[in-house]
Amino acid sequence: MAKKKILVIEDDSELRELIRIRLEESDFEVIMSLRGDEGVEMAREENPDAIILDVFLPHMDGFTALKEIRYGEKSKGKEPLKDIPVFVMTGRAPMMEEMFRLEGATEFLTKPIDIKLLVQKLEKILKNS
Amino acid sequence: MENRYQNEALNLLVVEDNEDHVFLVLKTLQRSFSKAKIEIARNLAEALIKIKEVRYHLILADYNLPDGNGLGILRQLNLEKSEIPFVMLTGAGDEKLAVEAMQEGAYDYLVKDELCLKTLAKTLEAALVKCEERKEKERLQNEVREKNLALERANEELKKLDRLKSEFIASVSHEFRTPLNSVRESVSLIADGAVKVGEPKGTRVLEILKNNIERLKILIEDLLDFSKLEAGRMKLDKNFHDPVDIVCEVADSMKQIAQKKGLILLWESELSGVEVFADKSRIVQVLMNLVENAIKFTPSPGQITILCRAEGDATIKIIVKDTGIGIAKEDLLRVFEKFEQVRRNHPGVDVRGTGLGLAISKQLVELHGGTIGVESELGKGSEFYFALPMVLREEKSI
Repeated sequence: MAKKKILVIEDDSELRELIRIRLEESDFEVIMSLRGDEGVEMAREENPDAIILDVFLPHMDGFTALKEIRYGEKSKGKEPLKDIPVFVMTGRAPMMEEMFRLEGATEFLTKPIDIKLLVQKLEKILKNS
Repeated sequence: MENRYQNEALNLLVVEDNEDHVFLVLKTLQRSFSKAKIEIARNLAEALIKIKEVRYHLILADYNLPDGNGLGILRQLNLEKSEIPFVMLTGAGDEKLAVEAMQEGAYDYLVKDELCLKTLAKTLEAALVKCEERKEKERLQNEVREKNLALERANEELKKLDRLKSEFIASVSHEFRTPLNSVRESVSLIADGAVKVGEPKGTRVLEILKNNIERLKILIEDLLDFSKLEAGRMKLDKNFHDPVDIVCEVADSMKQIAQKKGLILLWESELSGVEVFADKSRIVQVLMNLVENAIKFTPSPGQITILCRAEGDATIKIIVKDTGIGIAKEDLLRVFEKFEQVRRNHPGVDVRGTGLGLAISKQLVELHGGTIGVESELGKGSEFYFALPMVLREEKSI
């Protein structure tokens, strides 16, 4: 069976690297971006199975990126990704959680996140899909 | 008869066409207001010209004038929003007119009869007092209004500062959470046996762990420095130092970090025989901050140059010049502001920190009696500099 592909959009290079190590240890394929706009582009082009999305990102913030992923224009003949699981992580107060949930975030996690637990949740969701 | 305006240099205008009445009124007024200058206008037109030329303290006008009536004067005064007290004289049986005048803003009225001259001075005195009271009331109201405005402005200012502080605390907590996440995950990867110490991946994870602990340490130090500076409790341990030593020390310690990012770090000095009277650790901190920023915002390949030179004969200037991404004109003024982090959106630039570094540097330089500044253009690199008072080596023994 082919490896499941996870897109990680996070602007902190070291945290991004740690997430990649953890995901690869759990036998996922990992693609990464440090920018919101580029991340959205990769979500459309690379058909990942799930997305891990930070909120404070250069060029396009995570909230806008999530909306783009869910309802974005049919650019280059690609359909909006209505069903892909998106795990949102942020360092800010949880008051934004409702906002993100409404726009279709699968999980809303506040840093510091237990990434091992996040990976377990990913595995569960992707096994059912 | 006593009256409080007896000896005041008042300007009074009497508007009256009947010569007998003019004579009687003048005589009465001169007795009661001995220092007053009293002018007579004999018709409405003359009165209107006079009130344009002179600022009277009071106007006493007959209702019946050859070319109109006394209300014309009152209306003109109202039109000019003038506060000059206006007292109306009317013939006996014309009280209706007096009421009309009062409605239009006359201070008082007098009916021409035998008693009129006896009460004239008292009536005018009362009008003058009333005018002063009105002015005083208005002055107090204005004062209250201005004080309210000032309070409102101060309140707005405080609210703005409070909002900035709340935003600042939220963003600082965010800045703590990301490195904390890296620390947590590094430890967890090792503890779970997902990576092994001694193997390349494990070594890398340990390195990330170390870096992020260092980042947290710097964040805490920045916050402590900042709160000390804000409270005015920053103490400097000043001594005489060669600025070239400071530049050399910082350049040495930053060289490797620059090289690792593919940048060249150079320093040059034109100084000799001069010193600064300063807290060395704080000046090192300022220069480190400028060099770290230069490294952060300069993509590889690039160059950072620290220059050390005299400015006139009383100041030394240390310049940190980079070939980096530069700063937009509209952001230049904000870079030294506290709570302001000018987030420079640029690929390959990892923006980290509290956004307090430059605000701290500015306050530290100013505590030393120096100045700090920046020149930059987007895409063409930045030049941060600070200047400190110079001490000649021989001077210090005097």
